[in-house]
Amino acid sequence: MREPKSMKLDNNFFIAKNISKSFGGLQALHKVSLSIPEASLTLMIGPNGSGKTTFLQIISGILKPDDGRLVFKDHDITSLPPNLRFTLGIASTFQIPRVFPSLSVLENVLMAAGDPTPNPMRALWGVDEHELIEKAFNILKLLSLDHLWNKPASTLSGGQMKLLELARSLMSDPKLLLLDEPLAGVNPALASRIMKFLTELKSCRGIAAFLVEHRLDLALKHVDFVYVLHHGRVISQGSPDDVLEDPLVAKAYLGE
Amino acid sequence: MEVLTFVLSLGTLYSIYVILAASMELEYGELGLPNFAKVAFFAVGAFTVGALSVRLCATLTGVALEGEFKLRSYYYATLLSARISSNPLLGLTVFLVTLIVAVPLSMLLGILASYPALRLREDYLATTLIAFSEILRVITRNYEPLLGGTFGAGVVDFLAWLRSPWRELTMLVLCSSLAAGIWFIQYKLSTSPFGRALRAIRDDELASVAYGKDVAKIRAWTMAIGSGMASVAGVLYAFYIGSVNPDDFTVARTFLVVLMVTVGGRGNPYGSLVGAATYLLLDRVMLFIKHNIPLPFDVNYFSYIILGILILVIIVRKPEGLIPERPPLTVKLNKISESNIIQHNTEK
Repeated sequence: MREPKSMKLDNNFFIAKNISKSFGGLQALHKVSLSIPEASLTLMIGPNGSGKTTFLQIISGILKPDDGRLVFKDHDITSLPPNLRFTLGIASTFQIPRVFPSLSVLENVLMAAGDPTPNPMRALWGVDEHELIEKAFNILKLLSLDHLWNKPASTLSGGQMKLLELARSLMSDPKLLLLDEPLAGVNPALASRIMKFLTELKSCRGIAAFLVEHRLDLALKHVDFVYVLHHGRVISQGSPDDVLEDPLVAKAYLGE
Repeated sequence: MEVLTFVLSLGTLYSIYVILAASMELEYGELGLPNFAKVAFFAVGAFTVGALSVRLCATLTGVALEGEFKLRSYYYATLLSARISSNPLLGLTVFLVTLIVAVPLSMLLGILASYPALRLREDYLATTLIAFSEILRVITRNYEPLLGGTFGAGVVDFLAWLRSPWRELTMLVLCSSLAAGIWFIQYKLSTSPFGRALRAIRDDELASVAYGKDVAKIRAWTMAIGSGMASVAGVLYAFYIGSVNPDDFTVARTFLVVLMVTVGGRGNPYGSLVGAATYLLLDRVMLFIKHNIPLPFDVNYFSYIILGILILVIIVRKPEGLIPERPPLTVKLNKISESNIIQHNTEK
């Protein structure tokens, strides 16, 4: 029911307003505000320790902000726990893949679907997961992981685990994907395949993605909008070209 | 005759251990929650029988209980068992009522015990649960009106209307069918999306939350189910032994169940069957040695040493247990999906 409204005001899709967070005496984020439009690729860059991962974890709900508000499709999600944000349509991946090592690849993907609390009573009668399994296989096929479906996730390589994380986050038909360095530790061919894949998701399925990434060479070509974070503040924002020409950005990255 | 009694009692004990191991398999083997209060939930079942069987039977037959419970419970247990011998329905009522009281009570306690798990790290949780089970034991040991304190409580023989060996055989059939049912529930849960969620939480709790699972609720469910199962074992055990003594329910029993699950194979639904069998086999062998081979020391204590060494060897040499967990456990592909995969793989 809310769908048409958020389509009209396309900036109401996701808004973070004045997010602040400190750890002890360290101010990791200082009044960070940004918006993510529907069906877009938004990139956040910044030197190490600038607060990117902290910000991402605040959006996914793993960390609570000290101050500020998060609005997703007209819902105030600031105080929602991560599992409820996930059911609303915000799926996130971890910087270091956190697959379930003793589950098979297929089971890992299935974990992201279905009931948030599988009913033990229904389990006794048997649960028909036929459709979910088909869907999971289709996603695995897209990422060329389907031949590994019955292997324990612990036996995958680092790059495959990254893909599995991505596969898992797609299983729930998310509206917004949060990706923490999806290209880190991934070979160039696979990295550009991931970026193309994200672009496809955006244009074919209308999935917005918010990325934190250091591999600017690969990421900038594909994204629509860039935020630059430095010492917990947004120092620059705009289209990839605008940001690259901003002298402040060069200064932050290369030093004085 | 002696062999028959031996086999019957072995089967009954095995059934009780399978129930305990199955409940621990769900909680510890699959959810990764070290329920070191297992004996407390086992005790809830046994204590319900100890506290209720004589009183309930007396109320039903109109017998007035006189004198202190701790001194008279065994006398009344014998007296009332004689009444049951001519009235099978009375015996069955006592059995069913204690079961109906014990299971929900234990499930409720299980849900309560799942709450510390939200805030405590695994090792602190284990310690807290051990303390919880000791507190229950110490209270029942010292509050005499409930279970007769250190005297223990007599339990009526609800099968007194049968003659030996039919009595023992009926007990075995009853215990083994309950054990089979409970193991089957464990198997079905373990191989369903519910079991998948349990394993995922065990593997990575944060990731499970990030992928939408309500961990607190799943934990509460699991503890409720596991505790309900353990209390069934407790009820059967109390009727099997014929008396209940709080000091019989020490932490050592919890660790026997942990041993069964670890030896059998944590996370494998068949682990509880194999683990309970392995333990019982060792236990009986040691009992046999004690009775038949003269040794210069007491084999009873020696058995603790042997079991301790066994658990160490298993953890060092084969930490996954005798039959390890083998994914995928929770997906059974039907023919359509199977042919899909085969088709795709041949395309490659």
